[in-house]
Amino acid sequence: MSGALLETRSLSRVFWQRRLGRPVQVRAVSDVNLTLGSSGGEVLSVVGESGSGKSTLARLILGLDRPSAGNVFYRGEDVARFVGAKRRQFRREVQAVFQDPYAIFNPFYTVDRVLAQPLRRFHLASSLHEAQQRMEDSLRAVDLRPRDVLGRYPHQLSGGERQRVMLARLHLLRPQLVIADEPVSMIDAALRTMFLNILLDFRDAGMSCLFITHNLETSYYLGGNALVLYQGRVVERAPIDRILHAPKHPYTQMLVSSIPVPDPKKRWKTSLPESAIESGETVGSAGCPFLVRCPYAMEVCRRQDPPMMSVGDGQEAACFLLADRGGVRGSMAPMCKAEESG
Amino acid sequence: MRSTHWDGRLLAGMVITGLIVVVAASEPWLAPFWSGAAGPTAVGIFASWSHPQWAHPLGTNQFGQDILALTLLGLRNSLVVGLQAGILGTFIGICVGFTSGYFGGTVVDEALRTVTDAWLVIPSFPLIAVLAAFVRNLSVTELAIILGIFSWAGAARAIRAQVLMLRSMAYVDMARLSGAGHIAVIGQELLPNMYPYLGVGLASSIMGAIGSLVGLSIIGLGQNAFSLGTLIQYGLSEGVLSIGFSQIIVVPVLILIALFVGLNLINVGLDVQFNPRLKGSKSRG
Amino acid sequence: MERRGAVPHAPQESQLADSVPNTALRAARIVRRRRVLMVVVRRLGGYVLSIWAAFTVTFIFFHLIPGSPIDAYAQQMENQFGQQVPLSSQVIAFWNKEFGLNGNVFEQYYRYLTNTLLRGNMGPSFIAFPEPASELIFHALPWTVGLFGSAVLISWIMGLVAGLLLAWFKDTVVAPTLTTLALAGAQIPYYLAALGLVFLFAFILLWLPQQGAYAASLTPHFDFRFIGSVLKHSILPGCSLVITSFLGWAISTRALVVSIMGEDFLLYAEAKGLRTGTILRHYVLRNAMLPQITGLGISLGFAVNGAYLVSYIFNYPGIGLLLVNALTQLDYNVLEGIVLISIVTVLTANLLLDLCLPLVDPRIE
Repeated sequence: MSGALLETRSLSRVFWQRRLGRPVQVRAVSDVNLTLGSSGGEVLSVVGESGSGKSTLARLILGLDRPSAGNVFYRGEDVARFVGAKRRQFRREVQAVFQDPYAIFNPFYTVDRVLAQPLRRFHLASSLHEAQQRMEDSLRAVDLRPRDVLGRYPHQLSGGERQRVMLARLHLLRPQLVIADEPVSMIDAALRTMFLNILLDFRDAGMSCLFITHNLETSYYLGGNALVLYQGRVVERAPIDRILHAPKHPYTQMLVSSIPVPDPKKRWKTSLPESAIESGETVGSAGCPFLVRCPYAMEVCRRQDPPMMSVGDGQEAACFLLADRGGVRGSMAPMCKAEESG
Repeated sequence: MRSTHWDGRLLAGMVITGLIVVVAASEPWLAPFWSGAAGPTAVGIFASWSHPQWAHPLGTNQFGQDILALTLLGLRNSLVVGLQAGILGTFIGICVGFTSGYFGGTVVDEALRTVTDAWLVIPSFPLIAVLAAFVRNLSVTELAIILGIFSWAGAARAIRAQVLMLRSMAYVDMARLSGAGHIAVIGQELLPNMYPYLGVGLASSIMGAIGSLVGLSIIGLGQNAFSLGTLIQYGLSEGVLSIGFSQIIVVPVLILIALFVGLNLINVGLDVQFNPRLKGSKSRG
Repeated sequence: MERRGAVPHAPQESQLADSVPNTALRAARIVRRRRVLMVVVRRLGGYVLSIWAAFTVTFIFFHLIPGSPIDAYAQQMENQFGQQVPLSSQVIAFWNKEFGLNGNVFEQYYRYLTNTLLRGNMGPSFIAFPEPASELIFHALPWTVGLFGSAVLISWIMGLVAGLLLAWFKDTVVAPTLTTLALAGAQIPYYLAALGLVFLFAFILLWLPQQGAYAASLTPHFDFRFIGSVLKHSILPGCSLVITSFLGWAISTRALVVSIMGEDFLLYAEAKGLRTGTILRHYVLRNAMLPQITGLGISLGFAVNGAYLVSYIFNYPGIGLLLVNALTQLDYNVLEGIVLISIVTVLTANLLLDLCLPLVDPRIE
C-alpha cells in the first residue's frame, strides 16, 4: 500500500452531542476509504451536500482533528504518528484551501502573515530579502500586484483577492497535495474559472488535489475520480464522467438530476419521486443511511447497510439495487450533458 | 476591527476611571497638603472633630486626623489591593479559561469547567471573611492574594466561551498548517484577538476584588489595608451620620460609586467596541 | 442560528400525530416518559453529589484554617473576663467532644457528615452558647429569605417591564440615554446603595427607620401594627437590593427583546395585522421570559448570599447580621453553618430550575 500518496482506511469520526442531558453520537465521517495515487497530478473529488461530513473529512486528513477510528496514511505512514521533523515535512507537503476566504485571515495581522509564516516556520527562505522576493513572485503568479496586497489587512481586500492570496500560498509552498475544501463556493463565477484554471496548472506541475465540493460541475471541470459522500459514508465512487453520465446510487442520481439545465424552456426539476418510507415512521439505525429519502427503498434496506458493489469500469456504489445486476429501476437519465455545464 | 470611532461609553468610563486613578496615584504628594509631613494616619496633630474649613476641606475626626487625607489614602490602598487581586484573578482566569477552551470537549476541559462552575457556586464573601477573621494580621499582599484567588472564575468562564468560538476559526487551522504548534497558536493567533476580553475580565475582577475588600473593611476585617471601607466602618461605629460628620461616610461612598460606574462603562464599551457580533447586529437593525 | 425564523411556540406535534399509527404513538410516549424519569433521577443524583462535594470542601476549608475552636474559645474567655483562663485537660477534652474534634480526621469527617447532612445538626454556637448553631441560622433565615427573596422578585418584574419599554422605544432619544445610565449603575454593590439610602432617607429626610426589622417597642405578633412596622422597616434594605439589581434585569431584558425584534416571525406577525399589545405579550415577552426565568432562579438561589452587608448595615436580623456577629466572635459552627446553607440554597435553586424549565420551554424535550 506504500504506493499511494494519500490513503484513508476505515476513517471515522464520531462527535458527542448532549441532548436532554445525555450524550448522543453523531457520525460525521463513517468508514471512509479513499486513495490518491503517488504518480503526482492526480485529482480526487469528494462530492456531498452540506452536513455530509466533507469538511470533517478534510480536517481529519490534514491532521487538524483526530479520527475516532481508522487511519490516514501519507506516503504509507500514519499521519497521527508524525512528530517533530516528520510532522513539519507533512505540514509543508500537504496544504489546504478553505471555503471562507475571510475567516482564514486573522484580523489582527496583515495579509502577509499567511505567506510569511510558513516561509519562516519551514525555513524556506535564507534571508528576509529572499522571503520578500518569493512572496512577490508568488503573488504575481496569481495575477495579484504585490503592492496592492502586502501590508494590507484582510478586510481591505476583496473576497476574490483573498482567495487568490491562498493560491499564491500554494504557489509559494509547492505542496505535494492540496486539500481544497469548497474553495470556489463563495467567489463569483468569473473568478471561479480562473481559480480552477490555476489549480489545473498546479496539477499539471505535479500537485495532487483532493477537491471537496457540493457542486458536480466544478469537479467535472477538474476531471479525475470522484466519490459521493452521504451522511459521512461513501455511497458511490467512479471516474467523474461516469458519475455524471451513469450514476448508479439513487442519491447520486438525485444530485445529478438537480443540476440546473441552461435551457429557458425546460423547467428545472423541482420535485423528486416521493420516498417509499412513510413520514414519521421510526427507522432503526441498522439500515441504509439513505433509506428515508430513497424512492426505491426495499425491505432489505431497513435491515442491512448495503456494502460497496462494483459495477465495472472502476465504478462502485453502496446500494442493494445493484445486487441483482439489473441496474437501477425506473429511468432516471441524467438531465444534462456535461458539455453544457462547463 | 480597527475602527477609528470610539464608543462614547468606553471613553466616559476611561475618563472617570482615569481621573480616580490619577488622584489615587498622586496621594503621596497630595495628602501632605492637609495632613502635614507626618502623614494621614498620624494621631493627635490637629484638633478633634473640626468642621470643614480651608485647612481641612472635609474636617478632622476624633483623633485629629485630616479626613480628606485619610480618604485619599483609603482610595489609594483600595485601588492597589484591587489591582493586585484583579491581575492575579485575571491571570488565573486566563490560564484556566484558555486551557479549558482550547481543549474544549476533552477530559481536561470537563475537569476545569467543573471546578469553575463549583467555584462560581461557592459563596465567596463568607469564606473570604472567615479567612480574614481567623488568620490574624493578614498582610496587604496576603489579602490581595486571597481576593484574587476568589475572583477568577467569572473571567475563566467568559474567556473559555470566547476561546471556544475563536478556536473554530479557519485562521487557527491555517496557522497550524503553517507549522505553528499549540503554544504559538494560543499566543499569536488567539491571545491578540482576546485583548478586549482580557480587559473586560480585568475590570470585572478588579470590581469584584474592590467590592469584597471594602465589604471586609466595613465589617472590620483586614484592618492592615486601610481602605475606603475602613473609613466607612469607622463612620458607622462612631455614628457620624447623626453628629453632622456624614462626609466620613458619604465621600468614600460617592468615590466608590464613581469608580464602579467608570469600570463598568469600560466593560460595556470594550464589549461594544470590539465584539464583531454586536457590530453585525447594529448594521442589520 | 438554525432556530432563527422559527416561532418557538408554534404547535407542531399535533399535526404530526394524525399521520402516525396509534400504537407507535403510545410506544413513543412510554419511551419518552421513561427517558424523563431517567433525567430526573440523574439530576437528583447530581444534586446529592454536589451537596456532598460542597460539604466535604467546607469541612476541609474549616480544618485548614489555622487555630482551633478551642483556642478561639479561650481567646473569647480572655476577652470577656480580662484574664487568662487556664484550661485543664478535662475542659479541653469536654470542648473537643462538644465540637466534634475528638478522634482522627476520618472519624471527625464521618461524624460531621452524619451530623450536618442527615440531622441538620451543626453543633453548639459560641455567640449564644449552648444554643445550637442551626437554631440561630434557622431563626435568621426567614428574615433573609422573606426580605431578599421578595426584593429579587420585585426587581425582576420591574426589570422585565423596564427592559421591554427600553427596547420598544429604542429609536427615541430618551431610551438610549436611560439604557446607558442603567448600564453604568448595574454593577454598584448593594451595600453602597444601602449606605446612600440610609443617609438620604433615614438621616436627611427622616422618612424611614434606619435599622432593625421592626420597631423595638413591639413584640412579634400577628397584628396590623407589627406587620406594618415590619413592612416599613423592610423598605430601605429591600430597596438597596432592588435599585441595582433591577438595572441589571432591565439591561438583559432589553438586549433579549431587541434581538427578538429583529426576528422574521415578528415581521410576519406585524404583517398579519396583529395589534402591538398582542405582539408584545404573545411574541416578544414570551420568548424573552425563558432566559430571564433561568436568571431569576439563579438569583433566588443567591438571595441568601447576596446581601450580607445590607443586613449588617441595617442591623436587620438576617443571615448577614448573624455572619458578622459570628465573625467577630470566631464562632466556628455558626460560620460553617452559614457557608453550608448558602451553598445548599444555590444548589437547590439550580436543581429546581433544571427540573422545572422543561415545563415552560418547548425547545427542551
